[in-house]
Amino acid sequence: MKSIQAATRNSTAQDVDFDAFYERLFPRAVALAHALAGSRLAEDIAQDAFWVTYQRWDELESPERWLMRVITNRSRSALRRSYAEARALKRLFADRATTVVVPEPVADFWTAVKRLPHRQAQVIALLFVEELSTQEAAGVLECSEATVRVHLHRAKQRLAERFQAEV
Amino acid sequence: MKIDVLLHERAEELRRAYRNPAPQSPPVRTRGFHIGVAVAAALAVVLLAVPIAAFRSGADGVPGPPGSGTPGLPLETTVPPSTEPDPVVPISDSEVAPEPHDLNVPLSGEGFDIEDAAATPARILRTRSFGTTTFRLSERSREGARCLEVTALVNDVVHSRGGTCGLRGNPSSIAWDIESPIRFTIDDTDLVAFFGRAGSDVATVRVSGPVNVADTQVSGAWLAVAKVSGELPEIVVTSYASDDTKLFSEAVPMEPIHTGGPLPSATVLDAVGLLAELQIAGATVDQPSTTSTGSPFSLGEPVQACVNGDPLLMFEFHEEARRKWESADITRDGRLTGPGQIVTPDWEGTPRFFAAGRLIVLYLNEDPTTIALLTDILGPTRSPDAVGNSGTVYLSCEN
Repeated sequence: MKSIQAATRNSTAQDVDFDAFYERLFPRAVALAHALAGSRLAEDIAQDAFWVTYQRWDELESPERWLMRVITNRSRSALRRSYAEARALKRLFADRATTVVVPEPVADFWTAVKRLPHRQAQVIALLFVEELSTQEAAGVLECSEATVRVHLHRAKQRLAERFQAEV
Repeated sequence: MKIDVLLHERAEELRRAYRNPAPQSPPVRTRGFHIGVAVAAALAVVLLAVPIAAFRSGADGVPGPPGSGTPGLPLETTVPPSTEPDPVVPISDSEVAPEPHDLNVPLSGEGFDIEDAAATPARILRTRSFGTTTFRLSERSREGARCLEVTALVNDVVHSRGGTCGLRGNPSSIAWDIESPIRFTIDDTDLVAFFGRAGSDVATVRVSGPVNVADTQVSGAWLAVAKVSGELPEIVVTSYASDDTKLFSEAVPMEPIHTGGPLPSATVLDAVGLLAELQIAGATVDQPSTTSTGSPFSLGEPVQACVNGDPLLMFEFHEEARRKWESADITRDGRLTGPGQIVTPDWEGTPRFFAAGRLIVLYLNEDPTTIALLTDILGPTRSPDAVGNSGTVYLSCEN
């Protein structure tokens, strides 16, 4: 496997940058994907998003924002078949899955978020998991801040009703 | 508790879980991991492709079945609107149709590429006009996947189209209450088509909002069109049951899909796909390999896998039409008759056949969990009247 890696691309300074970027953002990326698509798909979506980011690494002005945008889009569409197949193949032939234990109340909560209309779920995930500002979230989602605030308000209403909390 | 406090707490707990994954199985977080996975996946595809190709090639010499060797169908081959009610199309929470808005591919192709041998003729579901532009909502199968397409025609000439395909090969398991809108730019005018396909429990769908052309109360598929400038208008789609109970309501906009993008990777219900679906559903899957059991169909060697410890035999055909031709020979009691049948093996166990997409599946054991999973993924068994017997042909997962 190492020889294949070596033959694929020689290490460059940009690769080193990407590796640092990957190390720094991977946990956050998986958490964001989990919030939007659930635990079973989260790591696959994150890995795929990093791969897409790596392919465009040299041309991206804001790779972090790009990464988050890819994750939010892919969590929505998920291309779940592809991920499912990739995961199945991994399990059948190269079982290297991560084991992440998320407490049940936490998992239940994010399952409820995942079931929100997807724009609302994206806003919640970006603002609370990724801790973006509304302006930053609007940038990722390519919409206005006002739209983000509308979705945020609706999402909070739904979640408050679901979990008997105050808005 | 304030919802803001709860959100911050839950988010922190989620981030903490991923900062500290369980130590027994640490991920390899380097770029090499991507390549490793890709190589492993490629190897896996090759390993599975070999046996699949083996019995594909075995099918090549058999003449006659509809669809075999059929060249690409005309792009605009259509079937008149059916007078039948829309088919039952339930959907589960776990199903989300893939969308072609893929950041990894350019959205500048020459059209929604559906012209291939695996596509079936389209069935027109709805047609709506906006000035000289007509929008047509249609569906078709493509390699076992169900696809919804919106085509824009200007003066009856196809201008552009976009669409999306569903996850599974089983037509009765695909539905879209609402899909991502599709944007068409026609003569410098931006038009956005909203569309969806209601589930089986839905009697009517009502669309409200600033759309120019809309179905306001329809059953099954619906189509609405809005002329836009800037941000998309927000519309609300609400589904109702037959007793007018409100079932589902979702507001859009979502990000629109620009036309001209390539078709998303088609969903193909094949052996690999079935095993993946089973795993998603929680089944243990092991030991996929060709088997010397032989095939009762016009094929080479089938693939056997062990699902929840029991053998599962999968017969994969080159295309869905061929599979239908073969599966038509399965009787309700699990025997095989007709011109496609070579021999009915004397199975040990209860021969439950399932068929969907390009697959025929045989399960001989009695695990209710596995039977339920297969039914969920592939639809009801084709041999509900089969009874157990102690035949001479048996399958085993024991090494």
